[in-house]
Amino acid sequence: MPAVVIGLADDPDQLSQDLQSPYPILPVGALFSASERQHLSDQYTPVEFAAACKPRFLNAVFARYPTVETLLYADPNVLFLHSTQPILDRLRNQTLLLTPYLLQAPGDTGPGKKAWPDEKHLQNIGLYNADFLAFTRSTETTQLLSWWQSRAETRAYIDFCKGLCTDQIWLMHAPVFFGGITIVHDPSWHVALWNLPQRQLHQRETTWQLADNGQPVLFVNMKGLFNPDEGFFPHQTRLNPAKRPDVMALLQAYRQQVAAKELAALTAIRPAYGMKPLLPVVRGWRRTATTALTALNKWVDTIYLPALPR
Amino acid sequence: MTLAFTICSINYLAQARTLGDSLRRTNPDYQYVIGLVDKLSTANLPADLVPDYPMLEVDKIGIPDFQAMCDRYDITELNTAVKPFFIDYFYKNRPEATAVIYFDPDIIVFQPLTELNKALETNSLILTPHTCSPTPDWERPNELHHLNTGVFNLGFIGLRTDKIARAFVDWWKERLVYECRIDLCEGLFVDQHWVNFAPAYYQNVCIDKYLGYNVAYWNLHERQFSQRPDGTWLINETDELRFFHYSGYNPFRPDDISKYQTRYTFSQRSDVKPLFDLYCRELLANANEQYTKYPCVYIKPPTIKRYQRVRKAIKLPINRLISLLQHR
Repeated sequence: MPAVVIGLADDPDQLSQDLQSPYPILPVGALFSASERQHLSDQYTPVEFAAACKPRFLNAVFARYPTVETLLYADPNVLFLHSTQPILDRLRNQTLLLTPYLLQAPGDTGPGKKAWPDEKHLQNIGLYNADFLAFTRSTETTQLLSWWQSRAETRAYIDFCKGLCTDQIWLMHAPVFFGGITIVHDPSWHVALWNLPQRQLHQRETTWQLADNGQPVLFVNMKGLFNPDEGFFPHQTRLNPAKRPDVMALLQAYRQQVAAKELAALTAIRPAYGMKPLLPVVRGWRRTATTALTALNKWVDTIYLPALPR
Repeated sequence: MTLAFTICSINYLAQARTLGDSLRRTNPDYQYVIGLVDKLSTANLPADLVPDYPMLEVDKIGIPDFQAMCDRYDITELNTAVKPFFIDYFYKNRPEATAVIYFDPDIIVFQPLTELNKALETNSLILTPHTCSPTPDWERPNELHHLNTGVFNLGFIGLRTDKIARAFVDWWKERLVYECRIDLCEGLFVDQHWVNFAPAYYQNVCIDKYLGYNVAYWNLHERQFSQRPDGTWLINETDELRFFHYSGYNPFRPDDISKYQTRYTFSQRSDVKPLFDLYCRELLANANEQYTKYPCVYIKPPTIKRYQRVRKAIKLPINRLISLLQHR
């Protein structure tokens, strides 16, 4: 059994006394001085705060478990459906494994084709998903984490115009700055909302397979499926889960597993860190209205205004 | 056969000739073509200004609805948008080419590209990063600029003639018909940013980190220059200089490394100065001054947006309303 550690980007005092975690919890307070933590908390939203802390968590886990040679990071929305052995096999002699959001062009964007997210939105958030990362202990990994930490802690803002998007967009530099970076092109890895339109699943007893080749699915990411407001694609138009029995079955099974862990008591707790407010996701008529008004703004910017007589 | 090509308008033919001369010296087995985003019939160049290299005008390569592209794009966008269309033209009309290499016109090739040719025997695409290591400060350009505009510099791309490279070129063409704009907030930066997708979508893509490739202002921080007694340029005393990209350099402002960078002056980087002096001499010898006087036939007058204050005033209540709706 692999050792599991939960990095808590929150205040552990918020947890109920009788909550028993089967896994050791490493609180963010153990990584930063109170003033450093406060500084990060003040400048970021909760999402940005957690992202800014990620590289330091990874460094801390390597330091606390000195005999550990491989380290997998998974977002809490990830669910492993298969042994991690294929991941460990790919990791041999590598620094870092990266999984792209998409392994092929969606083919449904561009003039007259309005599917969203389009590829240019992916450029804004980064093409490699930071919700799953696999590292081996090495000098190269130490250098990568040290660089990533310096960037993510100071620049984890979501600000597309400045080229910023959490810890994730920085990973675009990883394959060019560091050696031993593998971009994994295997569709059985990291199955999720954004790639399910290109991947049909098939349930076979307790395992899940890719329908077209029977390959077992290694892990899925339920971000944006479990909670549609979470993640970078709250307005995605490609996947309608209701029309995908495979996705509905997977989601149903996941919901049951999460419910068994007493979710309700925890979801009511507001994050203690990340003081900048998150913009709520708007839907329905509000969404239609904001989209129309944004288009109106663009029109005002570009419309020809005749010179006024002096 | 390897086909090397560049793309420019007539005003940049001094650069394109300088590149061609360098390829003739160092890689005489390459066939070199100048892709011209301009019209020779309009320019009517005097005989001494006609380059000694084949030129292929952009309106002759069968870009569908090319006029609409000209209307949509400014000169930078147009010059970059046509890149994959030229590659596609060569794939279809020069079947003897086993590989196609694109160089920006403001590049000089210093050495035979033996390793690159070898790499193109097994890799579908070869890309060169702007920088192979973190940038040392937040001067221009830094890592954020590369995040906004692309981690690979598209002043160079090497493509084998194979199925994967063709699929990549087809996808790239399709993107550039409408979205070869500069709009950083929307994730767009001409043809270059799109190429970030190449290693995510395709398996056989080589990210070549040889320090002698695509040397330019954006990677000077990681590359120190010296010369062997035989004149060969060395980088960090190990890698030989294969090609230098003089992006943003103006021979009439020979004291500026590039108009796009703020990190170094020549007094801080005297090691690299002789390479720029050499380029300055070559450009002037190749009639740079005469060529720059030819305006590109595809150029449009820049759109000037009047009444910015009026526009801002109109947008103010709209923005308030958007904010109100977003915060519920």
